[in-house]
Amino acid sequence: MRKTFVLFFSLLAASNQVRAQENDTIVVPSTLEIGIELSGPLIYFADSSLFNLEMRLAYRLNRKYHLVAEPGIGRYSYSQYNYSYKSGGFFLRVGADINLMRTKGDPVNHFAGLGLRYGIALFSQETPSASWSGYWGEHSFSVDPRFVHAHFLEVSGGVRGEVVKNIVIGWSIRARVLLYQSAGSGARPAMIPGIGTLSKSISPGFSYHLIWIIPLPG
Amino acid sequence: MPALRYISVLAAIAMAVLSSCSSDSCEEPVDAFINLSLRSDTDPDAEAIDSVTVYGAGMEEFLLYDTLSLSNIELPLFPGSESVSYIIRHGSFTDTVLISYTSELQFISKACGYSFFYTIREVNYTTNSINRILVINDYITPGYEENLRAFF
Repeated sequence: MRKTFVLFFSLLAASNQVRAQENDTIVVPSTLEIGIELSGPLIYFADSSLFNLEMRLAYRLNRKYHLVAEPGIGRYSYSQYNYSYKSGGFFLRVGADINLMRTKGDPVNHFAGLGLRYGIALFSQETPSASWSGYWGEHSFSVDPRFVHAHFLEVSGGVRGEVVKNIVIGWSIRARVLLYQSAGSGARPAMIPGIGTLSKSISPGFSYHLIWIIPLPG
Repeated sequence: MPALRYISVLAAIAMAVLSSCSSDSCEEPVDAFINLSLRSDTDPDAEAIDSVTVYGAGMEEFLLYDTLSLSNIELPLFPGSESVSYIIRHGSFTDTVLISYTSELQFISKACGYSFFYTIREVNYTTNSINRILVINDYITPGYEENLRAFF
């Protein structure tokens, strides 16, 4: 929470600073961005059933547009009275971030805007044990490990601020929509790496990034 | 104005995200039963069949319906078998209904886990009180859609 306040105040300060320099000539260099998503490992310490580790790789085309790739791994295990479930694998989201800030001055590494992504997940899942009970008695069964691929879209909104030169932190909230998964309805995944647990048609997400910005020559 | 637009979009996304959050309790129908409706050939206007008792063959101690006036009954199936038999007693007449089916595993949700849907392959029955049974819908899912219709 404290970091969020720091980020907002730093963005506010940057915004005011930029207004004072609106007539300056601004050069926005292309950059590479290498970041790590921090909330996944933090959540894992609180809940070891869910592990998510992902990177952010981005190329800033100009002030407004960033090309983004977010590769990662995810692992999930869940158990309740009538079944247990495991899944794990890789995902990749690719797309763009659109900076909606109209600041014309330094620092140029702040961001407040939207992101659009297409994602693909390649993972395996299994149900080691499950049971069904009813009028006629109990029936135990399992579902063997199976490779699944899934495709999804994601829209996000968030802010990032430069806290140290070329070091940026920021958060975003994300909404993901599953387009297709190859397991069919009978073995529909309870969790898909890169999306999260599937409950309703929109899967929510939250990201907190620490990013290193590398200015490119020229 | 751009900031306002941005905040509006962000708020819309936040609302979508929050509205999609769900509790961890299973709140949807999971079990698939055969919905069998009961009709009278002698009195087409009758809304129910009187004095009906239903139980699984060999399960006399676990009556599903005990001497009731019924227009619809739910018959549970068993995924570990390919057929089940039910005893349907109407007054002093007793019939046996043998239902053959295939089972299909379905993942319902994280909270509910798995269930089974069924497809009716064949229905055989005695005709002491039952005149005929029609298959209305052979695919059995959770819900109240009529699957079989029995005429007495």
